[in-house]
Amino acid sequence: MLSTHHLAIGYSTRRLAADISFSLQPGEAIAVLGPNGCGKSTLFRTLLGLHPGLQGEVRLGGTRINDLSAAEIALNMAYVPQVTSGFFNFSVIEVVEMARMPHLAWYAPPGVLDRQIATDALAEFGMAKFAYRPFNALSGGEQQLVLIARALAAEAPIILLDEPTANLDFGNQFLILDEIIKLTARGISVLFTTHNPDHALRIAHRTMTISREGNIDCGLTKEILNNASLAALYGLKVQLIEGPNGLITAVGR
Amino acid sequence: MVNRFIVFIIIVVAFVVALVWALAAGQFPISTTEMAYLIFAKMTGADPAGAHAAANADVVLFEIRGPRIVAAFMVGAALSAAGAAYQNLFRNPLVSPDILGVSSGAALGAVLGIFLSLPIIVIQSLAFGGGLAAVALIFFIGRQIRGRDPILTLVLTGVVVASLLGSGLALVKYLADPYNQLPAITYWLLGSFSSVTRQSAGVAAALFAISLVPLFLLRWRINLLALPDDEARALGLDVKRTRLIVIVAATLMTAVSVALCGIVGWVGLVVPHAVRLLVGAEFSRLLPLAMVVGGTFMVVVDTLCRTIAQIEIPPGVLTAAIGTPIFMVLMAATFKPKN
Repeated sequence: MLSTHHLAIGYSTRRLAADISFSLQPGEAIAVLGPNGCGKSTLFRTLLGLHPGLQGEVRLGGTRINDLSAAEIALNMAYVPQVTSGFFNFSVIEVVEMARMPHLAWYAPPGVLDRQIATDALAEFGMAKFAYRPFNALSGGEQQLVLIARALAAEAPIILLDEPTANLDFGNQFLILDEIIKLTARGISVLFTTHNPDHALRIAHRTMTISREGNIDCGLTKEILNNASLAALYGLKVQLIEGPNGLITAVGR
Repeated sequence: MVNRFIVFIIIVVAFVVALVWALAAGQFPISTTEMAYLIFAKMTGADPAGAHAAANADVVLFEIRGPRIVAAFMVGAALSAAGAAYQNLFRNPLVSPDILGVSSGAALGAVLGIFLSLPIIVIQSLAFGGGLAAVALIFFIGRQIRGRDPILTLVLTGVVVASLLGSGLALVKYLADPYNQLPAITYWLLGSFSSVTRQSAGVAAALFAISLVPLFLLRWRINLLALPDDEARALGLDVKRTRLIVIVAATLMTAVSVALCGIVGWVGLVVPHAVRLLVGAEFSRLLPLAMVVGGTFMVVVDTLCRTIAQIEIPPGVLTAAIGTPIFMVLMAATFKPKN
């Protein structure tokens, strides 16, 4: 279980947000919303133990994150970064197998079992047919799915996704959201950032908002996201409209 | 990616052909029958001076040509392994020990040792220290600048540091005794396998083996160094420690090469990059293949160097002449827009 207690994030020169307290429950999805530059990425880096918090603490399974090694963190928490293009032509299966690292001895490459786990993870997202294709040759949506499959292959109970729907077309955005729901159905805890309130409204049990001033608000998505709070968060008039199937969409006016 | 099995077969065949040719060709030609007989005699302990081979052919084969070919193969393999490791480390398929200034740093250290008439072990240590200092400097400057285009930053930093080291080299050459030291330095800066002895090759082999051990053991983890730091750490890799081990190992390999036979450029850049295009980036597959290809390439180059003209041509001259056009083709293939 991932939790924070009065965590403050930022840099020595600039504090981005303070007094962040939450705990991520098994099978729960929490969305993090906020304007550009509010500190969403810094929050993720702090939660992953990649960047020190300014105050308070992050705990993973009861232990302070700073007291854990990179491998111990990776065993409990997988990270899905935004898709970046690399120059190296790894095949898709090789990219997914990288998630097996904390399970392997320091000198060992992945074995037959690891390849099976990686293949199964790809199959979970309908990507098994791409296993031996070069990762760089896939479309942005396919690459994002491969990176989510990699997080699944890590067999960690918690998955953090950094803007999983960024740079994706309309159809692929909803495909990714459906896959995130599948992860939570397996009991995996999910924390993801997004720029689209609709995505939080669609799949997140709880939502955390970070305002430009660094104020934190966290609670049930439907209680946190309303016309007034979204207007304050993004500095424009917003109206939430409920569709015929109960789905809510936010319209900026 | 081409069919890997075919690539593998071609590499093995090329290696065997190159080896036989290198042993046979030269001022004292040895036929393949003589070669087979001499190797058979050596293995069974029979008298090599029998009627099946020309007199002194065994000396040429085992004392002169053999160690030289082994040294050329080792240097080609080591520079390719170091190049492959550096390319992963800097997330850039177009870096190499010479572009990064590691060779220049090692050369400056070694040339300084020659200039001060220091013992050979000190010269080799200076070569290692110089190479490590150069790579640390480039890594540090690249970190500080953090430009929008890290690859361009890195290549430009390498050019700047190499030219700085070049000025140091020029100063030592200017100050060196023009009758004794200067020819030795010049000769050595262009690279040469002609002064390799069984003993120097043996010492180099031991050091190559030592520096290859960490690269071999970490062969799979080195893949993760090609990812952004945050991503690699989130996957569970101790990035700093792994990177340090790989830098030290690759730099030791480069420095030992430079200490053994001087600067031989382009091999460490072109070979791993070309092999990566053929078989993919996966380092545990790339490393052995790049080493065999690099070693074979170096043996071919060295054999050409001692056979195509009346005098010996420095191998650095040939590797640059062959390497630059290949590099152009590879660069075009790498930066070609997809689809």
